[in-house]
Amino acid sequence: MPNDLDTLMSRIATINAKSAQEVNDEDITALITYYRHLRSIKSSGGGRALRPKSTPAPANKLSLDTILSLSVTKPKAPTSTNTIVRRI
Amino acid sequence: MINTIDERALTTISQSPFLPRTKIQFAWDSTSLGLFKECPRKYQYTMIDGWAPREESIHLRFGGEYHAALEHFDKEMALGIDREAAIFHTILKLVSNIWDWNPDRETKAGHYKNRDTLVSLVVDYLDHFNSDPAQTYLKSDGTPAVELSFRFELDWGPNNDTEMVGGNINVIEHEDGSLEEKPIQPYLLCGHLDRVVSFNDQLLVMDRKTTTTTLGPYYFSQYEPHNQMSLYILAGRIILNTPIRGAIIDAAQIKLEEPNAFARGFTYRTEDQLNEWLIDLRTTLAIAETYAIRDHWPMNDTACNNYGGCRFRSICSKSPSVRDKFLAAEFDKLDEDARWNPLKPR
Repeated sequence: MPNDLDTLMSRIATINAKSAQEVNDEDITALITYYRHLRSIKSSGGGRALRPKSTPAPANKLSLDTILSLSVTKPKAPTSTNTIVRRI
Repeated sequence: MINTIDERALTTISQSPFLPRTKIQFAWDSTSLGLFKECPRKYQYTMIDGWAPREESIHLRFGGEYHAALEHFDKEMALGIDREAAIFHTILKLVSNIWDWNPDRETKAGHYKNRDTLVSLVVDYLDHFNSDPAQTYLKSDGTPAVELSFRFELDWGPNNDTEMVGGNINVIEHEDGSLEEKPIQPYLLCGHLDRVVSFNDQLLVMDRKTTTTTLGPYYFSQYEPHNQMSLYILAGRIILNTPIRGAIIDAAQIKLEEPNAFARGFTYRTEDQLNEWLIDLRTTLAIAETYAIRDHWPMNDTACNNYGGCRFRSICSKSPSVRDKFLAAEFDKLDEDARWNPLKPR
């Protein structure tokens, strides 16, 4: 089904790029099919996936040496100079 | 109290709904009447001055095309055309009408109401009511009762006791010698009925609505009492001369991430309720005439927060001396022809 959907969405993108005069009967049939398909996707909870996706930021690459060099000791507790304590 | 006007007399030429050289409106529909009842100042800004919010055109276009598409479908079904073929023809016509329509989707209105959501809504509506228990009523001439324009002449008109109206009464002498006063220009009530249907052995007016509001009891409770529904039920009774008891609100909720939702609500009016509505109307129109003569439209500051806030709230909250500047900055002043006109045929 995902391939069918991809094909259909690609077809819809092509239709959307057409002018009103260029839209033909096959395009209308494809539009009806698309919106029926869209409804079933929304019904199955996939509506959010239809939102435009933002590209995730690339992950930082870490070498094995870098990982081994990382300290595994517990971080120090904050010193009193970093903490404002109001005594009452 | 009411005289009907032959539907054939509804020409494509629209005239002004105001008496010449006055601000006295004689032709009223549910929209203009609703504006006046809600707030005379809102009525003034919209009907008299022609101010329109920039986004309003999106709502009007979306609603108009939605109604036109379903009207087309209803007519084809009434002609006995196969359902899938009628859906195809409906979407074909809709697409040809709206393909070049490209509202700004960055606005809230354009986000929910655009070419894609409109086609989606029509396809979903037609599939949702695949076996519709509401059947289009066929008029006595055999044509389906869809998109019926109506005009009633009331048996009273704007008063004749002012210089501005200039004597609006004709005195007619009957054969028996009795005299009858008739207004030269009576008030008219106008509008369009989306569809009259037979549902569970009763005739009802159907009115289609699109909204982004959840379709629950709270949504439907707004229609009882309701200016438009009372007028439409009255209109249905008069133009079809049939005992129409109420109206179906055929509501469609536009949803972006979930399937569009559809629900129908029912509202009924008794004979007494309709008579009361007409009696109240007489007083309302007299008040409107008084405001028009004084050219002063008082603000109803208890209605500013209705329905999520009046479109003119940001204007009315300013000092009177600067309101015109803010109106010009935030609204479009429509040409006379583009303004809401109850006499304009659909």
